[in-house]
Amino acid sequence: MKYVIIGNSAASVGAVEGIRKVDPEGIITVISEESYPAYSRPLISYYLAGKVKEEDMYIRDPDFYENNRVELLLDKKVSRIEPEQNTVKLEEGQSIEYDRLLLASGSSPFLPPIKGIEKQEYHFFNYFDDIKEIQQKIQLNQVTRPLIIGAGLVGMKAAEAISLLGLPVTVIELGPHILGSILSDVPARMVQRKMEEHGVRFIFEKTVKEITWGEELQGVVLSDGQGVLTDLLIVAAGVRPRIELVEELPLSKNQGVKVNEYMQTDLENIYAAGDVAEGWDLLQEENRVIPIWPGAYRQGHVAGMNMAGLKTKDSGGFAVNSIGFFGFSIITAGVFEAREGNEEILCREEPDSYLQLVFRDNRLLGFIKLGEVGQAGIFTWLIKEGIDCNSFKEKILRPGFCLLDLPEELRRDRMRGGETIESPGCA
Amino acid sequence: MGFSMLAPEYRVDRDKDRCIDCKVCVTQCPYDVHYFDEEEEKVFAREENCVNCHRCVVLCPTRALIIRKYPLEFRENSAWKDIDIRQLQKQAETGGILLSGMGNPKPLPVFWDKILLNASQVTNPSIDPLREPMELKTFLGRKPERLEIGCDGSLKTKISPQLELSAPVMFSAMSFGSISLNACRVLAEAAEQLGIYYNTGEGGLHQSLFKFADHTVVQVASGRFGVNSEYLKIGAGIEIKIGQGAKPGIGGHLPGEKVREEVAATRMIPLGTDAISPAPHHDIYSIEDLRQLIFALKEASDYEKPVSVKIAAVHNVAAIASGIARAGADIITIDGFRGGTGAAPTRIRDNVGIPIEFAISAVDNRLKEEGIRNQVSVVAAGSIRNSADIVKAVALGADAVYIGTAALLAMGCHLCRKCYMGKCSWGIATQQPHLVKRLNPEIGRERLVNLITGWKHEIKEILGGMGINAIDSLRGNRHMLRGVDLSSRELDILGIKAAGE
Amino acid sequence: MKRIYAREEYCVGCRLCEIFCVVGHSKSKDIIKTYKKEPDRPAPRVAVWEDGPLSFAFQCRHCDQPSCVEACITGALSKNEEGTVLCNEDKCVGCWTCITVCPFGAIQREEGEKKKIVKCNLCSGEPEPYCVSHCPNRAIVYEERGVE
Repeated sequence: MKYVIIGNSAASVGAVEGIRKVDPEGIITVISEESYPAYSRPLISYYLAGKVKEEDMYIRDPDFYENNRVELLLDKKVSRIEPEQNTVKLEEGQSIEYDRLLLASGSSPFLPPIKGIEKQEYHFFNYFDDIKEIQQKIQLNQVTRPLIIGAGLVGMKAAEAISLLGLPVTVIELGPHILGSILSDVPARMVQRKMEEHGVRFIFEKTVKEITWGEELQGVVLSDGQGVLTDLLIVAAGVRPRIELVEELPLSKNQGVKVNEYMQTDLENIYAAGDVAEGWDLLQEENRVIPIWPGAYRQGHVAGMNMAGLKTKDSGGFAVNSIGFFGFSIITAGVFEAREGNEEILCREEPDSYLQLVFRDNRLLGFIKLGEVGQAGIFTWLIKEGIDCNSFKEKILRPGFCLLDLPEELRRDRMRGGETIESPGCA
Repeated sequence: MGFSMLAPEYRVDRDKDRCIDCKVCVTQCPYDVHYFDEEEEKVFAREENCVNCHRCVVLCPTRALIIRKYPLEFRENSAWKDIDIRQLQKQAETGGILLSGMGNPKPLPVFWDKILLNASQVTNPSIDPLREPMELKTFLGRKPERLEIGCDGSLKTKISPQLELSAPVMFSAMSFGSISLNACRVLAEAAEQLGIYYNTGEGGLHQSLFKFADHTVVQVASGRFGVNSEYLKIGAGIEIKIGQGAKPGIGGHLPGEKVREEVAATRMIPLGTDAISPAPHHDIYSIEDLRQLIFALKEASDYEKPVSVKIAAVHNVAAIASGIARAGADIITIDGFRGGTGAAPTRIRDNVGIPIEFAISAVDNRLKEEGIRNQVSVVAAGSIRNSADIVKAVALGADAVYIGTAALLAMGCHLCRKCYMGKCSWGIATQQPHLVKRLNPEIGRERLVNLITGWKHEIKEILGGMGINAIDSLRGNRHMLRGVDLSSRELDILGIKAAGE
Repeated sequence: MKRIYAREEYCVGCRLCEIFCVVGHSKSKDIIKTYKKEPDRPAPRVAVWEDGPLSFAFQCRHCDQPSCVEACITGALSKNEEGTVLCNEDKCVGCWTCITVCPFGAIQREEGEKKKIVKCNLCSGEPEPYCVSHCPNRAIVYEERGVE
């Protein structure tokens, strides 16, 4: 059996490990555009801030590919997938045969339409190489006024890392508050305050209209005409699944590639996992791209096992995020706002912590936990299992909620846990 | 509580080089002695509360704690000893009856220690119990006058119901309520494993212990708590409790706070009500009345269970025992003045009753004189501390013994004697859920089984030394005993010779 | 595999498991030295949760399919051949993603400066985990139970 995996991040590593659980023999080829063994994308901001050394960026030991008998092709770009021939074609002409193909090409950063952006004097904050360029600029003292477009997860981590290097960061956000994809207004303001205490400046509800140039990059003009000076422009305006390789193929896709519960696309031998795939969202009950690290690994792992012939269903997932700024932690999962109107939202706000729970029919649908984040996984578990929380809802809101607070039967069941057949992964 | 004139009884010595302020002592002390001062970030003690239960000492992971007597000197006075002054002070503060737990601690003579055992030399060879069979099996109950054997060798005499013990020892009556359910469970499981019996006391039989009923003696006392037809039928034997060594002539009182759900259900009384056992049985004013109750219980249990009558050892114990035997009891249990209790008025406990050693020999003598010794078995109780005490009790004339305090010590009791406070730090004499948990029945059972197993080995060794190969051959065999430091009157009553005779 | 199980009915809330967990993971493995001379002593991997009379000790379940390992963004968490879920503390950056997904709430954090998780490693190398061997009431047991 020949396996080809396009991409080399969480989903790809998950797939390799999934395949090898079932098939110790088959040939695995991993194709990556980048020049590194699988590294942790979420760690790039830590790297920039000097918290992680380069050798600790890699998520597996150096002998991972050798031990798993994987042929790793670095700096190679796939130009085409040819499902009729069961081959993928590399840009440099080479064809690679596959019996099973996994599309784990991830996502690419979105470049908003801004006048003057074509001059390419901007940086993304998504790849290791992006960070190395930024690092170099900063080290050469070429940066005094960094500016970030977008206050999402990527933009905020960039803001933190650069701020930790002693630079005054400005963030421009289209929306009314930061981290709009995971936080509602009140907790977002709390986090914003923490960041402002560390010198990060925010401009909300503005877009960048134009980039202005002198000899070099000078600054940007905002939608209200206001000008902001900058010498380092980071674009963090979201990402899009990289579906260009399958654009022409006869398989269904929306934003990402649609997969069934076996992570299989409409084409029998082609699987997809990670940020490029539309897997099952447990909470929304629809196929959707959930661009999170743990989910990518899980999907890759399930895909790998299926590719190797062990029928394994993916339990589906939902958005789960753990992020922190200047030591202030944020954990969120599921939905954080009332959508259908019959949700019940409970909150506990304290000076340095915040907890918000969203219930529907006494089942937890989502939470936001700031500051004190211990034991947050129990909330995630409650969401995933769809447990009726009616009898202990009040306790969930209390600080220190843990297994102890569950009804006896549920608690005893949990205490025996570990051996139960948990579906792989929570998110 | 306002100002108290009582000085602390104990002091807590905390070795600062060892203490790591881990707060184990704080979590474990039910008497609020140890506390953690957040400001100082150190553990301190309120010594006046300490009862010297040893919980903190034993659990302290660095051995940093020593509990000592509080070094408080009273002016020397032979009449007014420290304890007398303290008790008086306490009573002056409370205006109540002084209460105590466990048995009489007074420095009255322990006659077991004045009796010595014999051993064979030359003429009557001793027996090695590791090489030769040694029988400790004991049957309790009425024995027939004579045995009739049929031509085919079969036994024709109908034998009265008996309790069959693998060794002459049982666990005394301790009620569920006075002790925790876990403690009851330890007694029940150990009795089953050892092939002996435990006694429910007047606490009824908890549903979860029904499965040990074959090793259970169910008690009927003056409050009749927990008594119903199933209870009487399910046990291996029935005991009517008339009196108790720790408090002869006194009833019992289980305060309402200990009558939680399970206790209430088992005793068949309302939740939270005081469970008061009257001093007398209100239907027993004579031996004839007692006979009525004995036969009522036999009738209720289809004459399949031996019925015991338990009394405290008091002045006329021999005559009373004779009456009990004639009333139809199968077993007489006599509880000496050192017998334990969960709670007794101190003055009663310390001043009423007689030593069990005298009671055994007096009763054994009297029953023999009257030619009715075979009609009853005699069980002795009240501070049997070790295997040698058992051997001496049997040689004095007892068929078996009950142990209470010794069993509790094996489970973890450290004899602080504060059972009546209901806060037993070892999880025994308490009904508070967080304290009850401290006695893991699995561990308690293992320890109790270990104790009796050790004792069995020792009894066999002692018997072998005397050249005796069955405990039956020792019963009432007072030739095997000699007294030291006893008056000739005491020797006479005990029916033993002085050492050297 | 052999796992640590709590028996809540016998937990006396003394927290000796926490105390000895620290000792077991300390440099000296001597209780007094650990607490008196190792200011950077490790945090306990086991936590006693308590509410009135109910209490029990809890630590990593070493799941057959550990969510934390799947979710770990640094590769610090792994499951070894014996089934023990281990954390390479040199790699952990304290992102708390594992805490986000641990369905038991069993992952602990280092207090203070070190921003890392700590988790039970079954005291690998010891015949029995420290928390188990030092529980005074057998409220923590280490045994093979299989799927119930």
